[in-house]
Amino acid sequence: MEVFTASYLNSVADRLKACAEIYDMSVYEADNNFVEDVAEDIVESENNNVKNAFDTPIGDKKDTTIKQLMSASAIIAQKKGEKISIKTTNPLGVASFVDECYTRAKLAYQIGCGKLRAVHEAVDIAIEKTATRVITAAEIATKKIVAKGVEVAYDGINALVYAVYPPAGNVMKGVRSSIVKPLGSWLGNKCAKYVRSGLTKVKNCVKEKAHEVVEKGGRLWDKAKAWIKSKIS
Amino acid sequence: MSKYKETLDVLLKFYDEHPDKSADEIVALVAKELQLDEQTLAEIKESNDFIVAADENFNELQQAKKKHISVKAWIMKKVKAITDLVKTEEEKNVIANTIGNALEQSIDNQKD
Repeated sequence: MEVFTASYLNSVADRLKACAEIYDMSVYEADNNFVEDVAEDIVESENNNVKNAFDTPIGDKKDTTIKQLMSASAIIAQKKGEKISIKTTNPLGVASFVDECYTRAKLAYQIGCGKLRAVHEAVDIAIEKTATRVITAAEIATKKIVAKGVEVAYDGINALVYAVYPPAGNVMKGVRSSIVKPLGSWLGNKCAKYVRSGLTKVKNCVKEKAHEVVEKGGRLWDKAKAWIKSKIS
Repeated sequence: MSKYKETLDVLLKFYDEHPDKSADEIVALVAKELQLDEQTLAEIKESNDFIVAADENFNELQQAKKKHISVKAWIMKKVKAITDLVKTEEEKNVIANTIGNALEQSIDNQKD
């Protein structure tokens, strides 16, 4: 088995650095054109398949297709040399960013219009969405490494996973500036009002919920490590 | 109009006309019109596959919750399945540590 070469790890590190920038909320605030596009494309679409997408349950098949087309459009725009707000050119990083933005906007809308009545439920969904992205990133990274027939080195897989998953510290934090601000130009739009109202409710709830998850749930990883150790031989 | 919006408009128009088609199929339909090369198509495929896999995992978790399986138990099951892909204990630990740290950090950060 060969171990990752230094140049490979360096390229992964570069990718990781680029991805870290994406999820920095200051980046969102400074240049949130892409987030604006995500919301605007849903809110103002005349396309029958898109305009009702925010009214379906989170995880609906329609969500998947729309996010894929958004992600494809972002990749194509990057290839054509357009400067967009996504700072990475890693296709998985782009997909993850789109997924995060789309989910935030949809959750806020559903809280605002009363479709999701319990704000805790929305926060749970946001956390679970992030957790499943972490798992998916690890799954894909591991399969890629195994397919290459190389040894799983810590730096390699760690960087690959981190290149994809968004720090969920940002699950709701900063959404006001990244989603609501761009919606300002659409004041009077019913959806914009719903999103704004939903975000206010989420903001009041997310801190409390995060404490609850971490403190009551204990340190997930300590328990996980013990469990895994007991299962692997 | 930005290239991003212009492209998305084209793709969504095709989606509206062919709601039964997958995103990959829609991209393939417009590949010539948008002058997409093989490398771009491969990257779009990679991105699309990630979104599908992430959504499948999310929906699988929601189904598990309906059967009263906890989020933690579901995550543990997935971690076990991923670590089963590799052979040595050292490699399993590397993967498990990576996932654990990522999850822990992602939840911990929300306290701030």
